[in-house]
Amino acid sequence: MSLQRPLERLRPLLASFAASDLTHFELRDGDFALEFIRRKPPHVGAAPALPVVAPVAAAPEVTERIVRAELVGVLHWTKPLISLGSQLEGDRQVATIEALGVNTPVRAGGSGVVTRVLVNDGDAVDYGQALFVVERV
Amino acid sequence: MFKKILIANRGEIALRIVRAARDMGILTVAVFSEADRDAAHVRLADQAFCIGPGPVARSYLNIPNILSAALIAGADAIHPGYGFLAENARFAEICADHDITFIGPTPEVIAKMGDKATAKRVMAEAHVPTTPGAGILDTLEEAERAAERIGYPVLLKATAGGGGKGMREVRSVSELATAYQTAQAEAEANFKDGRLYLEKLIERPRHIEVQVFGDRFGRVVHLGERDCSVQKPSHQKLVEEAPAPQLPSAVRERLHAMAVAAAKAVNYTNAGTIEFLVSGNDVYFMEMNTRIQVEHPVTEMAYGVDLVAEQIRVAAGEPLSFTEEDLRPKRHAIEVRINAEDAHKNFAPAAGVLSRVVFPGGPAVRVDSHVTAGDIVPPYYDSMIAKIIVAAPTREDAILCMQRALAETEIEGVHTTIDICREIMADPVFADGGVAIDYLQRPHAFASV
Repeated sequence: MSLQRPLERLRPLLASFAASDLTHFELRDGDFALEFIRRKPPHVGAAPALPVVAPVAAAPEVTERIVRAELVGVLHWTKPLISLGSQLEGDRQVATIEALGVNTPVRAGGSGVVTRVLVNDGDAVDYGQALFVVERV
Repeated sequence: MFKKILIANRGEIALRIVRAARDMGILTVAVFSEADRDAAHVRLADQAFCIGPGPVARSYLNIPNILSAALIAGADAIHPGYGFLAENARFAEICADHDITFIGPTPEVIAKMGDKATAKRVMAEAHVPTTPGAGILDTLEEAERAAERIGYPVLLKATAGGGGKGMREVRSVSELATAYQTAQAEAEANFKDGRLYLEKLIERPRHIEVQVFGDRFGRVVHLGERDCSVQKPSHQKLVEEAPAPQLPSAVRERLHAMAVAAAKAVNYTNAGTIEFLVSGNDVYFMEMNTRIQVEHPVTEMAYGVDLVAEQIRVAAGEPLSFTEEDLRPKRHAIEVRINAEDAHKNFAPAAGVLSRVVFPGGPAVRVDSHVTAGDIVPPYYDSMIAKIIVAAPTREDAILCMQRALAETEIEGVHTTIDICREIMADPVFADGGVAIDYLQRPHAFASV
């Protein structure tokens, strides 16, 4: 396995491993060896376990949350419209995604301040597309 | 003709459909899961929509998201490829409800052929022989009487079965009681349905299938047969070829005639395949696949046709572009499937990164593949990463050509079926032709298995 651009090559593999049900992944080729091990989460109900690769860099504290589309459809912002700096309280509905004649609500998912709005009203969105970003306060 | 087609599939077949559409001047819309974000079919289509996370139930089987993408993109047709939603009658129906053409047969025909019992009945009515068998058995005594009538050896099968579970070979009446109980228990445990039926066991048959094509004007043609007897122990095909070698011409003609009769009996439209088990001069209907098959390039290379383009034309309401008289195999074609699998571990799928990928080239060689070096083989999907197809004037030449093609092929990073395919191409038993479906399971025949 060529190790030019090692990180670039490993990142998708790591993501694939993280998304899989595998607990162990091993790749050997000549002198090269790579091993991913999934550790059990510390508590039941905690965030899904991430694969551990040594050395582990300290993860930055997450303060931003991206709200994404969970289905393919056309986005319509609902009133009161959110914009840069909007204060969101609780889990209020901020938009709907219209698909096959059905409107599915998009919720804020928690309190915070809107720091980015990434789609326009009437835009087609696909699964996982980032809609807006909320910063926790 | 359609202006834009959405392709509800991934991998090499999605790419195959993009290519056919492009040749016809039709725009394409790809759909993809998060695991396929960098996939070739996404790059090469004119437009693409992410429809869900990696697992197929939430992406490639997600009918609302696929349909929503088709409507937003303004696609006037959907090609389902093979697998996933290709034989889902409900999906075909929903497409029609939204004025989107499903590129395939009608929902009624898909439903009819998808149900084993109905399909068998339809075939029997069209005078296509089916495996002698008995309906659902209520008691062991009933099973004994049925087996006596059909004649041993017989195969006990679970009505809800699949993947060999709840299935037992029974060679004499003395074995029947135990087999009945274990098969019933296995079926109950696996499918929560312990009902069994019984069929004559066809010993060491060949798997030979006939490609048929129908249009909306009631015309049905066949494009000859494909021999798919080289199968993994799980009965998944590994090597396919056309025409079938060592097949008596009377049997060949009968297969063709029966396939056309069967397709006409259900007013079949678009591409379909009727699979038969062949044992000596006896042929038995196995199932009909109401879609394009993985191994369709074998027929394309032998006959010099484009089956995917024909599917699109026929779905758009055009008549078949060829007549039975036009259709003669001009060359012998062979396909091998390169899967990311460990042949030594009973062909267990091997996910990982492809560190090196070199495909063959040169005259008479075709490679249908969606992978390049650096790609990941995700754990969610079928393990096939390439099909190598060759065609030559004779079978001997085709085997030599495939040997050359496989010698040029290099894939590193995951286990593959390249070695076993090389062994098959060098095997005198394969060279003789006419092998049965247990070909790969002969003990000590291959170093790579």
